[in-house]
Amino acid sequence: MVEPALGTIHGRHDMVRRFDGYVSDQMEELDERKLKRPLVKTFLLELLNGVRSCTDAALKDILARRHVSVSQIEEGLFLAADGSGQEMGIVERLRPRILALYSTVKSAPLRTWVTQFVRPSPELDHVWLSGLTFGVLWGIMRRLSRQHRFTRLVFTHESIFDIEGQVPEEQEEEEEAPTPPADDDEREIVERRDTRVTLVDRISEIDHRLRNLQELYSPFYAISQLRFPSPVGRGGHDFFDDGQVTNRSESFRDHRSHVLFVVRIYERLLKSTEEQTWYSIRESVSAPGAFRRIVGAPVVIRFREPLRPEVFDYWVSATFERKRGSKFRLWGQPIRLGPTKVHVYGADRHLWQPLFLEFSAKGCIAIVPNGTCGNTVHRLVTNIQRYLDPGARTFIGDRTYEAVVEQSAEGVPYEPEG
Amino acid sequence: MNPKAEELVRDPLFQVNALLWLAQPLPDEKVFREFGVSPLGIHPLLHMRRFAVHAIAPMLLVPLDVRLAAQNAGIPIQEGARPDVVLSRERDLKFLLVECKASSFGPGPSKSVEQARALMIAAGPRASEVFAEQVKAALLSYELPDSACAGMMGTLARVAEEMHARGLPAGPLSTLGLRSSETEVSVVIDSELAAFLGVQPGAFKFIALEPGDDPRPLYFIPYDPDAQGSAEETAFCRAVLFRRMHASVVAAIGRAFPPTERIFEHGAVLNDAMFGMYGHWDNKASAKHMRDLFKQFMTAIQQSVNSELTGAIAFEPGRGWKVKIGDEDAHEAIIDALTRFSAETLTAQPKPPIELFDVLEDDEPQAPSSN
Repeated sequence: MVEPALGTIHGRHDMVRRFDGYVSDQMEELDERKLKRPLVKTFLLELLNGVRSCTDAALKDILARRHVSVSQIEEGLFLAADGSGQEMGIVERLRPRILALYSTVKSAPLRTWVTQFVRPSPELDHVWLSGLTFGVLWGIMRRLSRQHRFTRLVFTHESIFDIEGQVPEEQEEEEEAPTPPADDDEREIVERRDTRVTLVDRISEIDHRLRNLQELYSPFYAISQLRFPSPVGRGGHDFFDDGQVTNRSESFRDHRSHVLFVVRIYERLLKSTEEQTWYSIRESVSAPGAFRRIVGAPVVIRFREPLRPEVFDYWVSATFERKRGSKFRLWGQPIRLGPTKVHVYGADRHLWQPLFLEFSAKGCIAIVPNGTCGNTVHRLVTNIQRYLDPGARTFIGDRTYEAVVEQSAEGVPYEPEG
Repeated sequence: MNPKAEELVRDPLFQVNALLWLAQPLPDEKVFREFGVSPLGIHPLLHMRRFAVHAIAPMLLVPLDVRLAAQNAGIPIQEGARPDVVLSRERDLKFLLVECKASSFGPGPSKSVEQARALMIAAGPRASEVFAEQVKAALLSYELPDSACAGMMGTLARVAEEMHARGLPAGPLSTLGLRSSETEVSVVIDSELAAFLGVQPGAFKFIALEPGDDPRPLYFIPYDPDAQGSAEETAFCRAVLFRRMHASVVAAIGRAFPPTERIFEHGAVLNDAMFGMYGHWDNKASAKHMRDLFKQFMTAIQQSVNSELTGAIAFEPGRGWKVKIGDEDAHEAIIDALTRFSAETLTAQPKPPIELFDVLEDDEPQAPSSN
C-alpha cells in the first residue's frame, strides 16, 4: 500500500500522483473484498464571500478561527490538521468559492471533524446538492456515460416532523443517531414515513424506470446520493447531498475531474441564484438618485401534498423554538397568520444572513435580501425534500429550479481522465 | 366575506405590497398544475403583462411652465408628487403611475386634489420630461377598495376636466380596485387600465385565501410613517419592522469574529430593514419618526441583553449602540441573549431548556456509509 504521506506532498501534481497510487492499490483490496484502508473522500465546502479577493492568507485565517491549522504547500493548496496537530487531509481551493478537502481518514471521524468546524462558522458551509439538483445531474450523467454501466442512487426521506401525538425530544434525537440499534426491545414504534432506498443497476434500467418510480412514490424524488461511473474503469464517484464525494474508482485524477465538473456547475448555480433572487432597491441608470426600483425574485417551494396541521405546527416549533434551531438552521420569531400560515422575518443561523419566509401547509416563499448567500436557498430546498416533502418543486422567480440548474450546467466542460 | 381581507383592502401599506407582489416574477398557475403541486395562490397579473417595478415613491416634479400656468389659472397644484409605485414595460415604454388610497376623496379644495393634479401632469403629454426618460404612454391609476372606485373616478374626471379647460396637460386616468371575498382578494381593472395592460376589464384573482388565514403576503415595504392605516395594521407593520431590524442586528453579530465590536446606527439598520428605502426618505418628520422607532427598539434590546450580560451593549452619543464581543464565549452568550429578545414584546424570553437534541444536532454528524 502506498500511503499518500500528506506531510511530504510538495505540490498539486505530487498530490494527485500520491493519491492516485493510493487508490490504485485500494482497487486491488476492493477486488479481494479486503479493504484495509479507508477510501479517499472529498468534502466540498463553500467559502462565503469567496471572491478572488479572499487571499490564501485570509483563507488560512478563516480555517484557523475554526481550529483547523493549515500549512501552505503552494498557491491554493494546504495541508490541514486538526486541533491536536493530526494531519487530516489536503485542502485545495478548487474555485474561488469552493474548497475541496481530500482525505483518507475514516468516514465517521472525518465527518465529525468537518461538521465540527463547519457548523459554527458563518464563513463556511457545505455544498448542498438538493434532490432537484441531483435530478439534473442524473440527466447529465446519463448522457455522458455508457448505458450498460452500473450506477448507484440513494433516496432519503425522513418525515421527522410527521409524528402522531405528543413527541418527546428524545425521539427526534433518536432519529439523529447514525446507527440506530437493530433490535431494541425497548424501542418505541414510531409511525411515520422513513425512506432510505439504495438502487444499484445499469443506467439504462434506471433511466427506463425512474420517472415511473417517482410518480408512484414521491420519496424517489429525494435523491441524496448519486454515483458518476468512472470512464477509466470500474466503480465511480459517489456524490452526497451535503458535498461529500467518495472515490470508488481506480483513479484519483478522474475523481478530482468529476469533483471539478460538479463544482463548476454548483458555483454557477450559486451565482445564478444570487443574481436572480437578491432583493434590493436599485437606482435607475438613466436618472441616478431619482428612481429606485425593487429588483429580485422570490424563491417559491410548493408541496405535492399539503402538510397536516399538526405536522405544520411541529415543523414550525421545531425549527424556531429550539435553543439552537433544528435541521433547517433558521432563526426568527414567527408571526402567526392563520392555522397553517406564518411569516418569519429572520435569518439563516448558520451563515447569519437575513432571510424572510412565509411557511404554509402548501409550501414556502423566501425573500432573499441582497448579500444573503445562495447556499441558504439550496440548503432550504435540500432539507425540505429530505424532511418535509420529497416531491416538492421549487421555482426561482418564474423559472423552475431545474431550469436554473440546467442552465448552470450548460457549457461546463466534462474532462474525465482516460 | 373575510373580515380581515375586507379591512386590509383599505390599508395603504397592504395596497402597496399587493401591487409589488402583482409585479413579481412568479410562475403562472398552470405551471403548478403541470408539476402536480399546490398552486401558490398569488397571481402576478402585472408581471404576466410584462410590467415591472420602475420606481418606489419617486419624486415627480411638475414642469415650471405648467406650475406657472396653473398659478395663472388659479388652480392649486403641488410642485411635485410621489406616486406610491411606478411600473413600466420596457418593450413599449409604457409607464403606470399608481397612487394608493384608503378611500376616495371629493373634488373640492384639498391636498389630495392638489396631489392628483401633479400626478395627472406626470402621466400626461409631458411625462418624458417629468421622468427624464422616454415615455411613450403613461397612465395614472388610483388603487383603492373596489367599492370606492366609482366615486374616485367621478372626482378625478372632474379635476381633469377643469385642468383640460385651462389648458393644463393632464394625462389619462383609471382605477385599480381591490375586492375581497371569502376565497380571494382580487383586483378590479377598469376599461382604461385594461386597455393599457392589454387585458379584458374585470376582476382578476390576486391572492387566494385559505379558511382562517390572514391574507397578508410577506411585506416588501414593512412600514410607512406617512400611511394612514388602522391602529391594528400600524401595530402589525411596526412588529414586522422591529423583526427586520432584529434580524439585521442578530445577523451582524452572528457574522462577527471576536474579539471585536459592532456599532449599530439608525441609518444602516433602518436601510437594512427597508431594502435601502430609509436613505431616500425626504419627509423629515417621517425620517425622525423612523429614527425614534429605532431608538425605542435598540434601547429595549440594550436593557434586555444587559440584564443578563452587564455592559454588553452601550450607547455612544454620535455613534450609536456598541456591542463589545470579547471572546467566543461572550459571542455565544450575546447571540443567545439577542435571539431570545422578543421583537413583539420588546422583552427577553426565558431560556429554553437545554435539549439533548440540540447538543447532538451540533456535535454529532450523520454518518453515511462509506469507509
